[in-house]
Amino acid sequence: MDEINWSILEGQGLKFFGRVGASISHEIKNCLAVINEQNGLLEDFLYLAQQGRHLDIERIKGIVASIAQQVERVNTIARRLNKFAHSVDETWVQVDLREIVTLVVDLAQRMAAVKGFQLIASNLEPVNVSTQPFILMDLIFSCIDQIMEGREKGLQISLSCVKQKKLPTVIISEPVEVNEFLKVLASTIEAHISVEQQTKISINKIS
Amino acid sequence: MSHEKVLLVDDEQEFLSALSERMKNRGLEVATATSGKEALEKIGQESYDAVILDMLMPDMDGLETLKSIKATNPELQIILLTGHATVKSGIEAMKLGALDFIEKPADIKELMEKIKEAKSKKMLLIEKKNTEKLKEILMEKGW
Repeated sequence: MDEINWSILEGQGLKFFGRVGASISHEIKNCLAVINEQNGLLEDFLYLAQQGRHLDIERIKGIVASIAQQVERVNTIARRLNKFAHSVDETWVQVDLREIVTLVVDLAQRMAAVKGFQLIASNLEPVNVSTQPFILMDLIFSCIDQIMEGREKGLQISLSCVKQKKLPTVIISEPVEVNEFLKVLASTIEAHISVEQQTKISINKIS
Repeated sequence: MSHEKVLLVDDEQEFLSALSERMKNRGLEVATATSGKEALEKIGQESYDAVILDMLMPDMDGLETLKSIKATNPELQIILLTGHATVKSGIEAMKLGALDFIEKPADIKELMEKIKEAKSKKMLLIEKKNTEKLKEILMEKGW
């Protein structure tokens, strides 16, 4: 398949894009809120200094450092968003699976935390694969989402990528129910999902 | 008139400490909590005029916390803070009894006005409750 099958992206697929966008904008707003309060504190201190109160230089240094830290945090989030947004630029591309898994974990981290789950990336082997990054991310994300919908809060979900039986494989530590939507996504990127104690997404196209 | 007593609830530690310091600079008495659960514990131990509550928090979110607070302290006024205000979540919060809904980053002046409004509303509700109680007693005793 040369083009992204946009009909698949309708509904659930676009929902994925929207959910990630909403979560990221929320994270950015949180950083801006901290910067706004730290900036407000600086204003308060300046006002008090003008009224003759001693200006505590160490406190000011602390606030400036906190603002710098938040700017770095926003920058990381924006970089992630940029990478995600560009995942629809090309259809089939050669990527390192580690990048895909790490990006999904980073993007879904806060959503998982809000729902009471812990999401981690572990055992990431360098595995090159030819795939459609957006569809693969949607597939992994949908699996995580399904796990979070049906399981008890407090669960740790780990994601890894390995080459298993010569196939690039993403392993999710929990099983999922392979519904029609997951099947369509998997067939679009020539992947096979197997579920036992874990969920394995093996991609047939190797670069 | 005594100072407004506020409980600030958010999982962002730096946001909590900076905003609480700014509120204290403006004469408010401020306590903080980093989760809905901690907020409920504090509300069980102390009386507050207003609760400023973040909408999205791990484990127990703002709406869930709002419901629990209103179930035990219906007169306590709650202002929700959120990173992404949607009409749907705003309506839901108001239906559950929130006083107002403010988007992050918040304007301190707007927040201070809402806190004052919260205190007045709480006092009115308590006054009304006391008057009703008094009426009930008077009816019972037949005075």
